Amino acid sequence: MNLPFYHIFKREMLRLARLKSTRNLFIIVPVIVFFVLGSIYYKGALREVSVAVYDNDNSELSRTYIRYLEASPNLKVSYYMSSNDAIEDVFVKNEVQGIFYIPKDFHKDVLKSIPVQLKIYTNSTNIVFGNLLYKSAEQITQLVSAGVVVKSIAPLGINPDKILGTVLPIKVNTKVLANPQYNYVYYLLPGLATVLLQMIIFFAATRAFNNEWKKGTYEDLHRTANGNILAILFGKYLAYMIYSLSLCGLIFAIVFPVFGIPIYGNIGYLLLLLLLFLTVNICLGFGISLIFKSEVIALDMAIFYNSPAFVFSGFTFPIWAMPWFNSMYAQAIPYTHFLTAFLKIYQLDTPFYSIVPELRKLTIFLVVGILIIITGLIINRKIIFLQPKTSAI
Amino acid sequence: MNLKIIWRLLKREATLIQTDHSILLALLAAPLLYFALMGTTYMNKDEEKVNVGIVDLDHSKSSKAFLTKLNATQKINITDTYTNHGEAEKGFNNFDVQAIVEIPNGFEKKLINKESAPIGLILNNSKFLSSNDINKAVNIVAMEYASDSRQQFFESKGINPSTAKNKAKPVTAQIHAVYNPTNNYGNFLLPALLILILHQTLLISLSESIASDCKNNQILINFKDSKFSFFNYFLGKTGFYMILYFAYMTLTFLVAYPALNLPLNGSLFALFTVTFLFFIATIFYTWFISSFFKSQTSAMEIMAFTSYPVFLITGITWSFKEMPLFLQSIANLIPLRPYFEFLKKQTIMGLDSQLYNNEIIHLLALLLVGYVLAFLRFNYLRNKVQKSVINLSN
Repeated sequence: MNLPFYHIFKREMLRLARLKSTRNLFIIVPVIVFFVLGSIYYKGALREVSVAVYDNDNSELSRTYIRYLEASPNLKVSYYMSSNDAIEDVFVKNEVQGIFYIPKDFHKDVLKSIPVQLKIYTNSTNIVFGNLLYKSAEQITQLVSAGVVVKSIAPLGINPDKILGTVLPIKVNTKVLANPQYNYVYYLLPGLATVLLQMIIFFAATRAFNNEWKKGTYEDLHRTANGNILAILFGKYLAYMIYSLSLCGLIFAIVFPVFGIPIYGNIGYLLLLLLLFLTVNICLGFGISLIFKSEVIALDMAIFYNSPAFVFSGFTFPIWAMPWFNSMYAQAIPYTHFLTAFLKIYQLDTPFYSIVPELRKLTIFLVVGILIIITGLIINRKIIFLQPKTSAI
Repeated sequence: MNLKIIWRLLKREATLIQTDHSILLALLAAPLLYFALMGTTYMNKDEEKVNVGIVDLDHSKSSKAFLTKLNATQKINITDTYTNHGEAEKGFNNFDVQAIVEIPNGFEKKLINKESAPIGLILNNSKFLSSNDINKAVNIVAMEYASDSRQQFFESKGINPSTAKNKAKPVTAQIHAVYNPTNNYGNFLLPALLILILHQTLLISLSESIASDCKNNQILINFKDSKFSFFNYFLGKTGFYMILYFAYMTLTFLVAYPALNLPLNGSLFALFTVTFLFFIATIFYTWFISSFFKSQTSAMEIMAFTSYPVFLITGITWSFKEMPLFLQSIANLIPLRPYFEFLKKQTIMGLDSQLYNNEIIHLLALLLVGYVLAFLRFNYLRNKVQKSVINLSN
């Protein structure tokens, strides 16, 4: 093929393959980071969280309560406290995340219709444990409480069909969509992997042009394209896209299956979303690369812009709970919108119309990226649009 | 150790930082900007009023009363009312709402007839925080109904209201979220996040500086000027960072913590001492790793991607014991791991020093390992430099 665009594409593919930076960004970093992150959460869900029990009643009812605790898949009674134990010491020395305190006369008071409060202390320095213990403690206590109520209403005379309606008039049938397993690998790894995907593509693209200036190869690039800047841009874009898609292949064809992460949605929609997302990041990166001649400064910009992307995406802490400025900043990062559409597709298998708003927003980023590229072309026009050398007279 | 030499190298480093915009940005602008950005993100500490949609097919007084109660909870904001399941599903798919509460036809009738009235709750669990909050709120309201229903039954059997109330709720759980009373996200994450910002900016800026030295052969000049003494070189090269990060540490604990209403329960002296040791350990490790980089861009590219792994591997968001053994072993080699444990026990839990001595010993051991690694690497590079000087002179 004798198209300048094709020559640039071929040249860029080879140039990237020879760059150490490409090896770092597209092979070493993702392979190590994705697998480390996946391995952290490989167990998926927390089970058998260690708790301590202080049974100050030692009655039939308190033992029943402890049996419920022991039977819960979320809890593991690993320590039985004595009166000499201090709560703080037990948390640290016995490495428990919760303490269940059953007061004296628990059983007697229940029989006498004196309400009893069981005290449960959760170590909420880590809210993952805090939430799990809260849920389990509430469930078990309500179950025991309901059992006591049923026993006390039965002798008073009640139609057996009405017992359930009296004790539990509203039954909440919960249907959990998108990660019903509450699996942390399914929850966190796709989010972390895709934010790193954005960072990698962005970082690589910020060096697309300034690296040529630094190495003195821009003239060769210009010559290869016959001075056609559009051919340079499209040729480079296509090469970066191929590399980016290979990274997507690593994520979706290797990392996801290795950690058993399911993709529920339409692969076609996912591919369309990815293509737009990658294009946006390549364009934004190209723009920065064309504006800042110094690679280091361009990379600084990329790091500064991308590093908080995960925090601001609303993935672990919702955007609506952030102050207005932070919420606005979140909207100015393409990852925020990509993530929303990505979650819709891969976890909820939503129809195409539901991701249209995010596709529109990403298109705006694409326009911004093109405008930044144009700005870069104007600012550095003297070193971009090279004049043909005239022979000295 | 020669103070004059150290001072000369320290001034040289300050000049490098001043002239290198990238280091300047990472060292001076990034920590302050990230503090402001990240700190304020979690300023509200927790979420409130999450968007929830409803499908009320009963259209009764009881269903409306139930939904009003639900809307009155702190966590739920009923924003969308749908007429049928299909319409609700559309809103759910668009992420307009994070959950749907469906009240079927016959809800009121069942309540009156003392039959269990089922309601549907569909949760979007793609984000755990909101899903958990909604689930908790709906179940709390359902339990309030249960309590009222039981009380009414006992009263109907001639039991006085006070006893009936006691009998309706014989056992309750009083849950105390110790060390984070409202179990909020901000208090859980912010202390570690602020330290991570300092850790990462130190890592990136120092590694940029060292990589720049390696690339420009400045390392040779610095070695020579330090009279090939490890202490002279090390204190001169990293002294500026030590002073600056001491200042950042003061800013973090004396300004950012109170501003963000974060707990500081232990002794400030112990906190400052251990934090300073942590920074020195980080500086040793950073110097050692960075001495292998040949360019600033390589250093930045690699270091920028360490943020998530080094943060998450410490077990701050997960159970450390549930991680694979090889990751636990790697984590134990990173100074952040014992430091985060110390920070949690000292500032948040306010424990006696004997209960965090192990973390201090762990950190000191890592400090020693970092020192030995940096010292051995320094000697290796010094020998290499000296040999090349001899070769050149020959």
